[in-house]
Amino acid sequence: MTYFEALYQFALELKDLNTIDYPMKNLVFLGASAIVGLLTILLDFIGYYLMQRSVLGMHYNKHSRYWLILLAWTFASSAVSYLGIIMNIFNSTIQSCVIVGATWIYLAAKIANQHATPDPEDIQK
Amino acid sequence: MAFLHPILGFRRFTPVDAIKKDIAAQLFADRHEHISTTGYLLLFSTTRQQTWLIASNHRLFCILDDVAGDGFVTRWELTKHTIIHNGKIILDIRIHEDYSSRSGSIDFGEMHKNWLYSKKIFPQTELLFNAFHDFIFLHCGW
Repeated sequence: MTYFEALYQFALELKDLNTIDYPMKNLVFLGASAIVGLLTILLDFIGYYLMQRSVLGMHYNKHSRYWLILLAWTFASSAVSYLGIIMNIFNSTIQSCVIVGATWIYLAAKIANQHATPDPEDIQK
Repeated sequence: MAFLHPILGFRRFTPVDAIKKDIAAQLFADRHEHISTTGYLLLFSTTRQQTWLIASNHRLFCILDDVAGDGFVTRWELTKHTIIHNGKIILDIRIHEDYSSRSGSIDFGEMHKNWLYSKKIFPQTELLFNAFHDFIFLHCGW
């Protein structure tokens, strides 16, 4: 079985990771977390495009580096999943992927917004 | 932590030369108006916003560049004759230091008030007065 077949079975067929015949199960979990993270940021962008509101607190404009945003948040989602596996915080289920991939991005964006301007800067209106 | 700005969707600041070039292209219908030989003055600078004063040989422009937006915006302009007369600045410039610990505010006449300036650029009001004076008479050549 290839990695993508294993990922397909885990993420789309919703099979239990333990029943999937692929040796690197954690990698499959990280891949699924990355997919969920990517979907989350895409949904946020669509919401901003349709309703001019970003749930994640992003500041999209025509000069935003969308490739960097997609890459960074997708990678962050996967990285946090990895840390969660190491810390044994959650089980390697698809539901955990959604919780980490979606929730972490929401938390991370809020934290990043706070730290991008550590003290509230003056704003010229 | 401006390095977080790209992943939050902020764009980069527009370089002042690009701002000048864009103003020259968009606003100058009169061939006798030009911007190429004049200077610029950075009034306000944070990780998110910059306010520039840029002048042609006829007008003074106030430009606000906010990285959360799509691009810089010309917020107001003043013609030369409302600023100087007989070699003296006649525009009523008032500076207020007490806006915040990092910013003060400056009024350019009655119509353009409460424009923020950065105290890290102009720690004293005299510096701001002198900078504006030099900008008008030395860099703009008015």
